[in-house]
Amino acid sequence: MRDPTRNPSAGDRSTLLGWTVVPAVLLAAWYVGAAWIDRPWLYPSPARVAEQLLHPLRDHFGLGSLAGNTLVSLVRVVLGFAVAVVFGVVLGLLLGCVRTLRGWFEPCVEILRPLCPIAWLPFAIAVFKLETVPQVFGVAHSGTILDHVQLGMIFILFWGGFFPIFTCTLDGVCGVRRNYISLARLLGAGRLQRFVHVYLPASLPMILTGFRQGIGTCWFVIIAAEMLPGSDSGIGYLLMYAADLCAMDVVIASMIIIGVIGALLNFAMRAAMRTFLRWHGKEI
Amino acid sequence: MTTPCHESVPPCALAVQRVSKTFCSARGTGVQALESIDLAVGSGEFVVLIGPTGCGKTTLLNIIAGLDHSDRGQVCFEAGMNRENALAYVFQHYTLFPWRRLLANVAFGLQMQGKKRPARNAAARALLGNVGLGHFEHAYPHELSGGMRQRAAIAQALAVEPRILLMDEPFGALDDATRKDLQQLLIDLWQTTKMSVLFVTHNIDEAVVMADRIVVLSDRPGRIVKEITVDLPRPRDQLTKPFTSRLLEVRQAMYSGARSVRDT
Ligand SMILES: Nc1ncnc2c1ncn2[C@@H]1O[C@H](COP(=O)(O)OP(=O)(O)OP(=O)(O)O)[C@@H](O)[C@H]1O
Ligand SMILES: [Mg+2]
Repeated sequence: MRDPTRNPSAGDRSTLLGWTVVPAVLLAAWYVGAAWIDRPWLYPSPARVAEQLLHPLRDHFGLGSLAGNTLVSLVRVVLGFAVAVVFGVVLGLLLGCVRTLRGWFEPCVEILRPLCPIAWLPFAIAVFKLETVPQVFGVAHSGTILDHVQLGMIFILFWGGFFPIFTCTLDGVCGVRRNYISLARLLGAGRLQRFVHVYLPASLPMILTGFRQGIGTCWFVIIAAEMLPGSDSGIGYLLMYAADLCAMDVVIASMIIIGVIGALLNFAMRAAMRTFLRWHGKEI
Repeated sequence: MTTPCHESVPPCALAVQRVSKTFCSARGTGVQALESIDLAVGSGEFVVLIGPTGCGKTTLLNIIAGLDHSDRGQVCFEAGMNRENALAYVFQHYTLFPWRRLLANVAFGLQMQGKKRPARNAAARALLGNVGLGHFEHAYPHELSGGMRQRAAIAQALAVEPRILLMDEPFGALDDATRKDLQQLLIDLWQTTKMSVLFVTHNIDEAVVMADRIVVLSDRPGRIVKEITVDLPRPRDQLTKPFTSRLLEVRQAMYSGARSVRDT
């Protein structure tokens, strides 16, 4: 449903501009600039990049294809994010509801939080070597995309997704209005019932906000992690090594894919919030 | 913490004994909200608590409901009753759960008691019908007007079939016509359920229309200035002499409870 307080024509017009004219102008500038500099191996024209994007399955110098590497990155992110969701939500709810636990763990959390997830990489490699997910289950080669999903990567992604989700969940639980809790108690809700029927739904908007930030961070982190030694695939890997081989059109195509997928992830989370939380932002 | 009632005659559902409360403000000075309140609500009685703003009415209800602690004194209930099984409370700032549709809001208490969905929804639907919200069971609270939310909050409280109902200025934010409708509705519900009601207002007309007994509180710190029994037949005609004389009596009591030097 549309918010009637918004001026629809002005909003629609600027959205239209944002999707058409502004990108067109930027593209034209890029086109003119590339033609003017005229060094296509360093500054490829949009046409060359588009050509790469139109052939996503083409292998590049044995590094794999755009589509294949993108898929690997996405699978890693989804798995790492899933682990972060489980730990972030459970610990967030637990620490939010139990003050003693919060007291115990707050100092450690405060020290781990500022640590960039990438800083865990050497540790992750030391602990998990290059072990992949199927190998954990005793399968050396499953022949699926999971052969490219290393435990170390998931570990790093976990740290990327965990803190946004954990922090938002914790803030959400701590910010639940006293009135709702009192009301539930007066209507006969026990401790567990208050947890399930008040704390959880009341902090759901914050939890989903945490998901949105968390998946964004995961996507950030995976690209960086894939560019580092120890990586054998992924869109970040392709981008890094294509640059070494002076294939700037592949690099820019990868960057565009990363940007678009990041935007899509964010958009999907926003859409999920809108559908699941019709009441959000309209508390009375 | 809830002890049986000691006052035996008349049988009382709820007794507040020598309750005092002082809040510590941010600057470290104490604000005394209540001073030695003694108050009993008889079984099936409709008691109205009236007093100027800030005199501690909400604080008293919160203490009765166990949401706040008194510094001194105690609250006790009729034998077999306690806060968990007998009490419902409609807040001053009426609260519904914003993430629940109206039907689920009203059915909340029954759900907590472990009632099955068909049974609790049927009960909630009947209550929504009673308060005139039959067509809105699928609406979210934010989609309703203030008066509708207020009616829903009353339905939510009544769903658990309380023996004692606390209401904190439930009709404070409503226009006259709606207020009259809801007053009548509440009186009807009270007469059919025979519950005890402790009803807070600072509207003198409302007090005299609703009450079996009016308890007048003074300016802060709240003390009981006077208790006025209203034994007029219901429905009450506001234009009769006995009604207006009760109005006058309440007004005089409120003036006598006001601070002599007002800091306005
Ligand atoms: N949590 C609190 N901390 C400090 N002071 C408080 C607190 N709650 C209430 N008070 C003080 O206690 C006094 C009584 O408050 P209370 O809310 O009970 O008044 P009230 O009679 O319900 O007023 P109103 O008719 O405006 O609702 C007020 O002067 C207020 O300043
Ligand atoms: Mg109040």
